[in-house]
Amino acid sequence: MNIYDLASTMLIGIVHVYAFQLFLGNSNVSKRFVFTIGTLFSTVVMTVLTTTHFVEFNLLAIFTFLVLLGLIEKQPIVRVMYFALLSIVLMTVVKNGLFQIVHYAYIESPFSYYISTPSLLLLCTLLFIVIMLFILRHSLAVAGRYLTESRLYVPTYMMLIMCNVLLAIVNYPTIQLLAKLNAQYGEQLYTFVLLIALLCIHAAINFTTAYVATFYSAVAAELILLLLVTSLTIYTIYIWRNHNEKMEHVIK
Amino acid sequence: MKKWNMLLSSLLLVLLLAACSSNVEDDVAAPYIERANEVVQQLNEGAYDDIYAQFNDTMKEQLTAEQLAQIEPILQQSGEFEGIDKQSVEEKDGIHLVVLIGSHRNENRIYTISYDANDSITGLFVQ
Repeated sequence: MNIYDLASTMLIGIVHVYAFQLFLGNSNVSKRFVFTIGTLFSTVVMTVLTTTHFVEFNLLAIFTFLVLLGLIEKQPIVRVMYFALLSIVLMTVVKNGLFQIVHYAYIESPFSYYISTPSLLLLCTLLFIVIMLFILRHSLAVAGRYLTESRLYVPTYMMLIMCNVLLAIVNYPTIQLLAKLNAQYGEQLYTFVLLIALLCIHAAINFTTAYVATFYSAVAAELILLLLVTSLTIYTIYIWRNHNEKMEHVIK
Repeated sequence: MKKWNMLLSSLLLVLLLAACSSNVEDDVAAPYIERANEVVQQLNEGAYDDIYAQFNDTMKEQLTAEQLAQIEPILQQSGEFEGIDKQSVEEKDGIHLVVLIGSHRNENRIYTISYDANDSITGLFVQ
């Protein structure tokens, strides 16, 4: 582990905590708070992972930490769980997708490739995500508020639970049941991102067994999921704006 | 506040630039690159016994030629080997790490080969 890996580990915690706080509506959360809690968060998760060696505990530790953080702030537990799930899925997908794109672009570039290059690229990706979170902080707070107040709340809640289960399956789990699912359906899930259908419809899984996850399909899968989440966010903001215009008209 | 921001940005820039340099001279790196290129060629041609002969004792215990042959389907997925796009050599604690970006028909593969002080292969990683 080099200094870039260490910095990236700290930044991952900061990214998750910051995104969670923004979705909760704390767009003016203090940088010192985010940095301290994010660093503590990373330390806890790394300790859990190092002690248990169960990769899926990573996801569980992140979820538990974020939920406890929300409860400490006296937020309702259902709402806190929703935003914890949302920040885990969104940040994981954005981080992995962006990293693969940047990594691929770097390999195609004229720059030399060293042992520490992937670590450095991950650090740059995470820095970029932190900066984007800061720039979009008000929009994310608005989107978070609207998601819980609109009719999208329940469907997105179910979708987020499924996405987290899928994340646990595709990220090389060690628990026997999840490992079996990963061995049988992991490649198909990662390649086609047929979220619910791939688990429930056995025929769809058989149809997709001809395809093997390659680098390009992995990038495509990440981009598709990112596009889905982005589209959902844009649609949410669009509905919210229309709703606000109607309310202004009613008040006048 | 501005001063702290400048200091932090400069530190970050120095850290980033530090990752972009190799600590091995070109004349020292050249023979390692040549040997690593041969290993990559042999991997793609299926000459696993030749590669095994270059391993040090520890590697020979941990990875047999038959186990090395299990990489064949993975390399076949990438398509025909076309050549090496990039190479770099780093030295750490007497171990020389050679990183090669191999261009295949379908995708690129990253080959990391490490050599000990006796120029035997002490590590082989393909991703």
